[in-house]
Amino acid sequence: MQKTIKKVNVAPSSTHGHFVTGAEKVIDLDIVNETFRVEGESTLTSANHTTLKQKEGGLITCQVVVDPFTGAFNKSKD
Amino acid sequence: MKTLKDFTPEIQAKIPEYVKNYTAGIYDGGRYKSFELSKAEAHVNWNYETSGYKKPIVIIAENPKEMQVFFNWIKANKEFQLPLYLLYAAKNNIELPKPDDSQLDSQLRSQLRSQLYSQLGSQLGSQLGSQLGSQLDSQLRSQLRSQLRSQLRSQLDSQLDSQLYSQLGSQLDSQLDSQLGSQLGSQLRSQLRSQLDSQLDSQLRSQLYSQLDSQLDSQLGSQLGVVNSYGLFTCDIYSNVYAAWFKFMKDEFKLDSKIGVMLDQWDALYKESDIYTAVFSELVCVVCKYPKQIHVDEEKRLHSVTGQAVEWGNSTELTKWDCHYIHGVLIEPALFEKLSSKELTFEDWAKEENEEIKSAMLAFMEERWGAEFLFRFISKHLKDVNTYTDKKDERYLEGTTKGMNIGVYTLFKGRVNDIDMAFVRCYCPSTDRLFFLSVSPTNTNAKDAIASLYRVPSKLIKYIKSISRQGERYFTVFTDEGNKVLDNLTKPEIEDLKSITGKEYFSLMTYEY
Repeated sequence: MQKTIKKVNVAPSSTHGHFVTGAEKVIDLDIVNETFRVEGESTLTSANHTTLKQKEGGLITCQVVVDPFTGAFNKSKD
Repeated sequence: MKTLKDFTPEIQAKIPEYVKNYTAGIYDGGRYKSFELSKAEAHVNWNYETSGYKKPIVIIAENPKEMQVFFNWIKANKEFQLPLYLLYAAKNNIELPKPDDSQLDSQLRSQLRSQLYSQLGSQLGSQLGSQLGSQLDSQLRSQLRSQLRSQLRSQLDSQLDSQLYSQLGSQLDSQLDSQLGSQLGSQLRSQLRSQLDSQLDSQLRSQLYSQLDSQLDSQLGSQLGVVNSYGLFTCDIYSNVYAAWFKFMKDEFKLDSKIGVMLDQWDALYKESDIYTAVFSELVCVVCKYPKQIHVDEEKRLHSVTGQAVEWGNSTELTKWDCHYIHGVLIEPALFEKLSSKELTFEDWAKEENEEIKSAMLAFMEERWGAEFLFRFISKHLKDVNTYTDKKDERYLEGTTKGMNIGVYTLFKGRVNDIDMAFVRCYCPSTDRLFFLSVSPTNTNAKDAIASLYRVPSKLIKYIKSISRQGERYFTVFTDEGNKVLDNLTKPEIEDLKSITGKEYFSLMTYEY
């Protein structure tokens, strides 16, 4: 039986975080852009949103917004 | 073993009573008003004595910040510890030490040699207790600049917690929790405990604790701003959740257990104590009162556009604790003041980097000053360019508000201080909060604009099977072939994130929360 990880914050820059639970593995692929690979079934929870259940593994990426004054692309913060 | 069969409609109907009973007086200030030192002391003493410790000196704080400052101040001021120790000794009938008594540490002994006999008569007992209260305010301020010189005593929270758990918690688990069948336990959790959890834990405990942890050090520095661990499962706002849970099991399912008497004793003492939380040490326990008033929105999130969402008392200006929240989002006092005085400019708003705070600013304007005010605030600088509506399949609306705003995206563009700007307006499907997300001004339509917020490694774009979204995080599932490509991506390839077109994005999007 595959072991599952308990809880990983896949939104380290977020105030309250978004957490993956129940996955087989969560790999931090890119700490700057906050890109995480999730293996196996998982649940994504956060304080301000409905829980998202995923039956397959995948890639978690962060929303990108534009700084209106500099035009630079930035990770969206919540 | 109790099973679902025992969970009769009559018992189920009592759940709202328990929720009401264990949250009574928390939001409307009832527990603040009924706070009495003697009742708080009775509960604190019970915790200490149950754990094998003597009764501590109990000091009252009006809010969690004040509680931490008081405790840090006592730790930092050795002169103050001697009278405290004398009071502690008197309270517990401890024979006062002789100058050569080896039980005292050397620092305390050296002070006692010179001060003990002369101070004893005047500072013992209740007289010292009253001095304690009156001195604290002025001494606190005058001592702010003094250096931390020694620790009071090691904190007791972990020892007390483990003692109390072995005396009470583990037995409650084994004697009550274990008597519920798994289905009954799970149903009861979803009906009773989750309601209390969401009200008392996620907002009033975790969120406020997180605010305190993040603010204290930055506001008060490394001496008074130390966050000491606080709360016990028997003496904290969260105790309401535990007590309700165990009392419901014991009383409604008539579970016979030896620990029942102790549970009833703890339950009654905690309810009477009106303690929000506390910091524990052997000598001193600083207890924090509940707030004077708590304001929440319809979803029980901390919320007020007219003042503090959580109104705490305070004994000094230094220990005043501001808790402004808009729909659960913490707002700094300076920003709240700017919003309240209508001094917030469009530029201020556009410069805010946190989308939750940006959204909260708009919610404030709409609720406090009206929809027309918000419309003027936006339309003065931005014009509606294009709207796209993504009508979702019913199955993807489970877990959303199912409101009219879901899937409606509008692109706004404008020019501020000679800078072209573009924002896409959207609504959170989980909460219906309004967001204006900044996108590149080169966007010409809302569909592509909303898609431009999504990024994925460019080498994987053609292998996307589906996309889901939870706030600012996207979850992309790839085909088997795509997963193999992902296995072999190099670091630069992972970092090479690209967006997709609006047409591609909406054809792949499933759940959005």
